[in-house]
Order: sequence, then C-alpha cells, then structure tokens
Amino acid sequence: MDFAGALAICDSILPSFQHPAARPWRRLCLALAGSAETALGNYEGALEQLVAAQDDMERQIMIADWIWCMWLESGLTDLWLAKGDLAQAETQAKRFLNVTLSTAERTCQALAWEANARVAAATDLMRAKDCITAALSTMEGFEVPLAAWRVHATAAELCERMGDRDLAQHQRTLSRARILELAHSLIGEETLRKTFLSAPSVRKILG
Amino acid sequence: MRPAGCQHLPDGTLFQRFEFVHALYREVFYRRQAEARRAKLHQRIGEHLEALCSERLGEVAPELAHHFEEGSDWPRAMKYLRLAAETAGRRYALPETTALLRHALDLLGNLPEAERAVNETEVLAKLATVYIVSFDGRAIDTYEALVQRAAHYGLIDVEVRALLDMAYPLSWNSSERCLGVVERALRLSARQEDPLMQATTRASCFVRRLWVCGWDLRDAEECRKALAEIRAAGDPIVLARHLVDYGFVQWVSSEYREAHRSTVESLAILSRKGEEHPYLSLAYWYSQFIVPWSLLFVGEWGEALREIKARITMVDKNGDQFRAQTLRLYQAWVLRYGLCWGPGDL
Repeated sequence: MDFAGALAICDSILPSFQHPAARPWRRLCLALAGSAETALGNYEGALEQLVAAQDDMERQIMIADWIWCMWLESGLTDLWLAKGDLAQAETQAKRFLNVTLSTAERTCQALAWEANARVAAATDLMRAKDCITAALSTMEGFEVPLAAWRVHATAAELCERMGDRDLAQHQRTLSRARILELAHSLIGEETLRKTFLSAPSVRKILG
Repeated sequence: MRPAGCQHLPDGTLFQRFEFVHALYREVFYRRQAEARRAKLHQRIGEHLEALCSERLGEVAPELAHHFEEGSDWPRAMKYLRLAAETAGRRYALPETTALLRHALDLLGNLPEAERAVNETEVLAKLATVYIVSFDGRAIDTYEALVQRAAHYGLIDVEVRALLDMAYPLSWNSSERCLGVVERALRLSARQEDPLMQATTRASCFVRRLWVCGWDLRDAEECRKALAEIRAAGDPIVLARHLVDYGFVQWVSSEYREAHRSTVESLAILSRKGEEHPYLSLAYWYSQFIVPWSLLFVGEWGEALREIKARITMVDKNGDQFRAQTLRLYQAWVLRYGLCWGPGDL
C-alpha cells in the first residue's frame, strides 16, 4: 500500500496551501498526511498533523469541512487503534460515526460502523457484531466498493472469531470479489495494482 | 522609411509594408500631427482594417481596439477590447485577459449611457471569473462591484448570478460569509421574472448551502425539484451547467456513478458549445473535484488516477501551479484511501 507515496505528495504540496485562500485544501492535506503517518507508524507526527487539521476547522468553518471532518475523524480513530489506546479509540470511533450519520454518505457511514466494530472487537464481541451488521445494512442498495471490501473483510474476521465458519467464508468471498474488481480497475497502473494486492489486509482475504 | 517585407491580406491581396528606420522618427511624426487629425487617421485605419479582416476580427482585435480608442470611437473600442480579452482567454493568457478587461472598465465612462450597463456588468463578470480561476482574492471585490452595479442598473438576474458566483471564493475563507450571499440571492430570486431564472437560482443556492452547511435532505430535495424545472425548460446548455453543479449533491448522496456520468456528459455538452476556454468556465472547475472524487468512491481507481494525471499535465503546461497542487492532493487522496487502507494495514 502506497502510504509513503501519499505522504510524499502531501509533504511536497503542504507549503503551497499556506495562502489564506488555500485553507480548505490545507485541511484535507493535513488529514491525509496524518493518516498516512499513522499507517507508517509515525504516531507522533500523525497526531500533530491531524490535530492541526482539527484546530483549523474549529477556528473557521469553510467549504466542504463537513466532508473533510469525516475523514479526519476516521484518521484519528485509526491512530488511537494503532497506538493501542482503546479508550481513546472508542470515543473517537463514536465521534466518527456521529459525524457520518448526520450525512447521506454511505461509504463513510459503513466505514464508521466498521471502525466501531474493530474497536469493539477487542472487548465486546457482541457489540462488534452489531456494529458490523449495521455496516452491512448501511451498504445495502448502494454501490460503495471503497467500504465494501473492508466491511466484508472485518465481518469475516468477526464471524470466524464467533465460530460461524460458513458465514465467515461467505463474507470472505464477498470481500474477495470486491477486491478483485478494484484490482481490475488498476489495469494499466501495474505498480499500484501490485501494491494494493500485496497489502496485508488484502493478502489475508485473497490467501 | 524602409521596406519591411510583404504581407497577404485576408482576401489574398499582396501588399508591401514599410517602417521607419528608427522608432523615434515614427514617434516625432506621430506627435507632430494635430490631435483631431491623428484621431481621424486612427479611425480611418481602424475602419479599413475592420473591413479587410472581417473574417478574422479576433486576430486583429487588439489593433482595432487601439485605433478606435485613439479615434474616440468608444463603442467600437469597447467591442474590440472585449473581443481581444476573449481571444486572450482562449489562449489562457490570464494576465493579458485581465489587463484588457481592466482597460475596458477604464473606458466605460466614455460610452453612451444606453450601452454602459451591459458592457460594465459583462466585463466585471468576466474579470471576476478570471480572478476566481487564478485564485486571486480580487474576485470578491470584483463581484461586490458587479452586485452593486447590477443593482444600480436594475439588472436583477445579473445581480443574483453575481452573488451566487461570489459564494465560491467566499467559501474559501468563511462559510458564514458564503452563506450570507447565498441567502441574499435566494431572497432576491422572488423578484426574478423568468421562471427558468428562478429555478436556476434556487438550484444554485441549495447546492451552495450544501457546500458550506453540510448535508440537509430538504436542501437536496429542493435542488432536485429546481433541476427538474430546468430540465423541463429544454435548454441543454443551461441544464448542463446545473448538472455539473448538481454532481456535488449526487456525490454526497452516495450516487457516485451517476455523479460521474452526468458531470462528464454535461462537460461534453458545454465543451461542444465551445464559447469559451474551459479554464474560464466555473462549471469546468467544479467538475475538477467531482470527477476524480466520484471515480475514487465508485472504485474506478485507475481511471481516477489517469484523469488526475491528465489534468495535472494540462495545468502544468499552463503554468497554473496552485491548481496543479490541488490536483496532486486529490491524487494523494486516491493513493491513501483508495489503495492504502485496510484493517490489517495499520
């Protein structure tokens, strides 16, 4: 997965977003850079970038903030999860869910339920199951591939842990199908396609 | 004087050119003429050139504007300054376009009263658009001037449009100010006489409210209803402009594929119309984020990246650094959230 690529772009363009008229783009850039830092294990840098984006948004509301806010909350949830701070992760995951539920954005809603399921999986499997069920029903009737493969992957993992192997296999098959469709969209972008297919979460599903 | 080569006229006639051996001679002869005679000669040259190049006026518009301005033929000077600005805009020569439009504004006071309103408001609108696409803060002041002048002339449709277009640059700094002009436009729309204009205003207002206030089902519904009225009116160009705008509503409603399809089709319609360089069209710029974002969300990641790269190449070619950086940001978004996020990857 090309976290380093995304981070390199963000680092190179962030200085051009210092101009007051460029502040809406600066927020997205900080949120993206922060979440890429998390993925690369640089948690302190990640927190710094994500909090900077949050501070910017609290200071002055601008165009599309409500959209960037969902991705920012998602980034913060992943950060606390990655750091192993479950209490912070739980609070953050709820915030992530609340901001998405005030929109009609099904990809973010499904991802927020899925993030809550991952957080809950550490302490309360039943709640994790409820969350992933909500994620699955959020996607019904909508084409949300960005969320679908992850939701099905997490659902498969939870079903496995709860001893429902058939359902786990079914969810894995659905996740696999979505992954292959996404990989197919990258024909002509071979390096990225390989990067995607070699990501640990993808490999885990594809076997 | 000395010969300066030959040139073909548009009708195929070959003529000999001459020039002064030094620009100073030219300047002295020019200045020695009485002002009235000089103006008359400029006017005659302008008229002659206008007749000779009637099929290619855009190419000689700067010369025509100059001769008619020196000849104090203000309506023609204005006409050719605006044509020269349009030609420069098509070449994406934004500083030149800006200079020509600002000069046109300087000449407005010389125009007969009857011609002033249309010229002033159209030139201000074009100048404001150039400032927006250049990310120039003067866009807001220019729109404010346009709103004020349109109100002065009683041009309600122009006033409303200016408020709606001003909402975009205002939204870069403050949602509150953006919302202020949107609400003002919505109130003014009650005074618009043409039902189609009223519908276009409502559609634009509700989209802009969603930009800055967040999701609201009623606003989305109102927007959908207004769009149905615009569709029923049957003007494909007006509909295409509003469909690009509406792409945002579709995207935030999770109708990603439809947002992409409708935006791309609408852009094709606007491009076939070909009245202006896409760079000078706000619809084109609104499409710049809807197209890649909807491709990302619908899982067409390869196409999203190719689309972004093609646009980066184009803006780099035009030296539009800021725009290139915003596109690179969307590229990072695809790489981060499209390709780079799974539960086990953290």
